[in-house]
Amino acid sequence: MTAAGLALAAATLSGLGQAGTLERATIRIVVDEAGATVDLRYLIAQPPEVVALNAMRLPGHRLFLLDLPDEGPPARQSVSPGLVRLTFSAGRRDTLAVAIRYRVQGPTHRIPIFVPETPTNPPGEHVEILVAGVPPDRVAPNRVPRFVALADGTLRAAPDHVPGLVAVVRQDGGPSFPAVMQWGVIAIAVAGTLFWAAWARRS
Amino acid sequence: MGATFLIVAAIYFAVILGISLWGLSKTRTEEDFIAAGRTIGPWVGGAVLTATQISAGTFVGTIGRHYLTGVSWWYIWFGVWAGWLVSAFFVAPKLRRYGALTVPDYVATRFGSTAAGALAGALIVIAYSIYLVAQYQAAGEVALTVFGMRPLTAMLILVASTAFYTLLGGVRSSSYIDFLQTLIMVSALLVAVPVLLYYTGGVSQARAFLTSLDPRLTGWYYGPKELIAFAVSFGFSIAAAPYEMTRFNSMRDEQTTRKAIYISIGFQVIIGLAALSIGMLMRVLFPALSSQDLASAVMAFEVLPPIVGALLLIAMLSAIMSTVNSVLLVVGAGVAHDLYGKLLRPAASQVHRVFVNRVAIAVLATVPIWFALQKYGDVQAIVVEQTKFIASFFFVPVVIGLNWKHGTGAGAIAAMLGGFLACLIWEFTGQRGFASHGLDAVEVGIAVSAVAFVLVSRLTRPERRP
Repeated sequence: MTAAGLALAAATLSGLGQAGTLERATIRIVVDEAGATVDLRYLIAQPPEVVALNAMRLPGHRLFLLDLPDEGPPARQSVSPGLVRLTFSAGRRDTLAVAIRYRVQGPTHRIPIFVPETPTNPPGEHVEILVAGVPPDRVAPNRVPRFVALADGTLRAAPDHVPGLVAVVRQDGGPSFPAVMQWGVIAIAVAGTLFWAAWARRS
Repeated sequence: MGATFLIVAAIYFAVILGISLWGLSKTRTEEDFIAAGRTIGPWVGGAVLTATQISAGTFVGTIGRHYLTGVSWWYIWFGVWAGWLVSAFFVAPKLRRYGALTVPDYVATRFGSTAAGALAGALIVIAYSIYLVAQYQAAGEVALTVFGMRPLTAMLILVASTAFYTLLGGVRSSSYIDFLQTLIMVSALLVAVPVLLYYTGGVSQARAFLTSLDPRLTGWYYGPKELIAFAVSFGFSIAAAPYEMTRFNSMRDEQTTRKAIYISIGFQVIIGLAALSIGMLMRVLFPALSSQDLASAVMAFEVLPPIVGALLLIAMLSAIMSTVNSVLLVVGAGVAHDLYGKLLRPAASQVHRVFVNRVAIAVLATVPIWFALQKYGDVQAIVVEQTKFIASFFFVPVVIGLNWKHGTGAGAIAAMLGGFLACLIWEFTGQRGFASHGLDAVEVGIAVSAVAFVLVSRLTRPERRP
């Protein structure tokens, strides 16, 4: 495949086509009974003139923007049926630091994150997510992204990309759905293998 | 996840090795190696055709394409299935009647021309080497994302393991391994979709997010001209895909072959819908990946429960391995049977031919690694490229040649060369204006191939069939 490019493939070869690189993302989440408070700090290199952050709107959630630093770039918020968008006017600069704090009120088994449209450039530890305030018996067995527990009970993840949500709190009522799917697959595989072995023996 | 993946992978490779050794014990002749002694039934056959077609192009490329562009890419599957139906009615049954072991074999027999068969063999080696580049590149992307492994290391592991079981048991063992791999692929995809839906809050929630993010994702990212060009490219190449047609030769009879194609389409419908869902749901969960080709690996590593994630990685690996295996069997046979056996040493013994086949596989498996490391394009784009070439030089002599009795050896050669060159030249010239005229390289290639085939056949006399 040459760089001469095909009109067909060119449109899709460009990938997501976002300018800039997300150099560093630090996400701190404190969970409580009523919801979660989220602190985001993003450092974007070679940002586009307008930087957008998108967070999904989940059932039962309300999002409140708590704090934007006075010295930061001006921001605008817009709400559409599926997402909440924050846009920052970066102007022309080499780097842009964005810091926001917001409150998510509602179920805590999924916590939406404002994701910059500018991606990271893996590999490398560009993203760190810390979640505090989750009692040990309320930690979900399958977490998104992959979290590990630190000595003080804080949960830490370092994915290559910023996720659209964080799922660390066990959902109320019944076993975890992903765990059910997982063990279901194993049960079907074992049953299928035994069935095949029995059928092969008979024939 | 690392330990879980290693355990699941160890079990998987142990089973593969067992099947390979069983296949080795049953392989005596060249027909055993290249056509499994023509013993494969419809369900294993259907799984073989599915596993052969479903490759990194699907698990990495198609999921990545849906991640980037949304739902409209799904419509190209209709081109794929149209190609399979053409194959079921106009290609597979008639191909078997020639008793050929390989597609170049069929070309040589049908047109009574050793030169035409040799040209077909050479073009297959070139086109499928491009396909191997895409598979290796996908393996490198997955390995780097999931394990932090250097792409070169991953490619060498892939080549060594796949070439090893291909060398051992040929088509017989690879058919049963393909059956296992198809089951793994379908299972992993079917489990992944509900888990992703669970995290995204359901279909309507995901749809609302995607529409708000970019309305084209749930609407029309591609226009009809582009979709038709892609669908035509895939459809024509599937109808005359040597790596699939070779597998027809391993099935019991014509009826088995047709049933296997229908079963394969059924598997593909499930896989296609799952790939669509996964690509779009991953865009909800990770809206800003640095490359769309990372969507499936990130899902396996960051979203799915450990065993399901490991299963999906094994499924991805299976998809790549099964396709690489099929391609290696075709290019190996192309060199050993169609070029060496027909042109250089026609008197070579069965044992010697099988040996040459194994050596060819070992050599041809390693050359594409260098190209894969250069990353000339994304995985799906590379796959699209090679389908265009395959369709351009093979569709006419195979499909029309099977159904039009006036085709000659010279006509077949003109069709192959004309189609290949027309596609290649258009790629560097007229393709740039695709947005205005809507004419893709594959359409030009097939048209030139058809005209050349008919014109030259009419002007020449058919050779006596060997």
